Amino acid sequence: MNRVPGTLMRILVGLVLCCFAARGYGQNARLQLANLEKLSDKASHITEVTLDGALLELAAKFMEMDDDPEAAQLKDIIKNLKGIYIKSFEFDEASQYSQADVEAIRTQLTAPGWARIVTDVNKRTGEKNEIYLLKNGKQIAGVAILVAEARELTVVNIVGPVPIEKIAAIENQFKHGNKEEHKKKGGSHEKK
Amino acid sequence: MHFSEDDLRAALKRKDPGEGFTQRVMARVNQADAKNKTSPATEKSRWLWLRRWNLRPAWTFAVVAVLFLSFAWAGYEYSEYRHQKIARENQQRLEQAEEARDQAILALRIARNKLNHVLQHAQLPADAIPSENDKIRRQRL
Amino acid sequence: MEQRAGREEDRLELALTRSVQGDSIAFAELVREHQGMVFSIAYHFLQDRALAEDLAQEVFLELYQSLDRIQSPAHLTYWLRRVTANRCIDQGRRKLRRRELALEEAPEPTATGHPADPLLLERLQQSLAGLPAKQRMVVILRFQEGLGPAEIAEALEMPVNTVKSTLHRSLEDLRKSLTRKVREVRYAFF
Repeated sequence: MNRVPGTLMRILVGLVLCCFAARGYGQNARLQLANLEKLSDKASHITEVTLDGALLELAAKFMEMDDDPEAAQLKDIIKNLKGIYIKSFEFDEASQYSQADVEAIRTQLTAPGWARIVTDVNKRTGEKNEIYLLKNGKQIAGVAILVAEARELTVVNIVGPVPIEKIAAIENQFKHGNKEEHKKKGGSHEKK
Repeated sequence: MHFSEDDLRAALKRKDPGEGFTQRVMARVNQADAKNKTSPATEKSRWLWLRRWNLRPAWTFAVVAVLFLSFAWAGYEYSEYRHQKIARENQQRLEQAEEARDQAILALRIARNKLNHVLQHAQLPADAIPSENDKIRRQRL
Repeated sequence: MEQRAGREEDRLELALTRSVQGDSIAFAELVREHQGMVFSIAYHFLQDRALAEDLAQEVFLELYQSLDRIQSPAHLTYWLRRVTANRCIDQGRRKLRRRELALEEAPEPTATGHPADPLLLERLQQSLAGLPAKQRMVVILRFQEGLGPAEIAEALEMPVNTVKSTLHRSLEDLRKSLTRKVREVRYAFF
């Protein structure tokens, strides 16, 4: 009779921990990229995209109305995503960013659930390109692509059930979006 | 047959309604008063401010017509204002949606480019995305 | 004479003011002052004493309910004539009962000029009853109340020229009607 409350307590604690863990997964999926802001001054070309929540839903709905098959392809990719975050810096000269800047990102990718699936290292130049996946059971819960080259540092972070093979297979022709490289926008901006 | 205007005046000379007419009138007045339970002055003084205008029917019609037209015009203007506001909001929403779409396309393009860039450098085909268990590592010298 | 008229005006003004304030005795005074005019218009139009009294009572009841609209004794007279005339015309659209007047109701001869033939006066009244409502009222207001064409036009809300032509036509019609009646009487004897 006295065991029952004790057992119930253990179950309750376990549930609470699971909730925190699940929340932790969600939090882990989105990387904190704020430390890279300081590179804006040195970069000759910056691309930033922050697309999540209502804006992502709006984009998906708008694509739904589009009869274009390309739009349908893209809509299929983003429809279940929670967010897309990109920070890309291009420099005129090499060594404009430090390894510490990149390590700060990599440290986040050592959190539970993240697994590096591709690493490409150039020992001569020190360039390192990586692909990370965040798994939640059998489902992909996030993707991170790190491109750390001599004159470029790019972090692509996609949160949600990412159809990564579909992203890789996206056709090169985009009807829309070409003008974005030359426009300054609210969710993304580019500097030349 | 001839008659003069005086004959006509005589024929139409005023007549007295007879004894008790005034009393009969007052009886009816008191009856009506008792029914309404208000004095005529008190009851009507409520509308005195309006009655003092003593508008002729044509003027009353003109005033009513002006008021009606004013309200109709105000209603129309408000309706127009609402329609324009909704149209503006819809336009803003459309512009926002277009912008969001464009951003999404840009993001996916960049993601595709970088993904394929990494896979290319790792000499992996684009359609062969490694799984967690593969953990491809390639070092170039 | 003018002084008396002035005093009369003041008395009526006072009675009117007190009536508006709810003084029923003052109102009764106004009724007494104008009952002859109102009743006579109704009587000569409807040619029925009972109907005329009923109508006259309704006019005074309406006056009681509209006292605050009356601005002066002159306005009161105008208002009574107008309301009485309109009520008579409305009532007169129904079929008029034509009755032979009893002898005691026969008009009295005028005091001025030559003594009027009572039979003529009676026939005049009967002929009047045969006129259309508006024509009849124009004649009554002209010859009973002594109103000019402009005053009649205002009371009945008609153009002045229409009043003049109506009056002219009415007198013509009365003459024709009287002539017909005389011929009928003559034929009755033969």
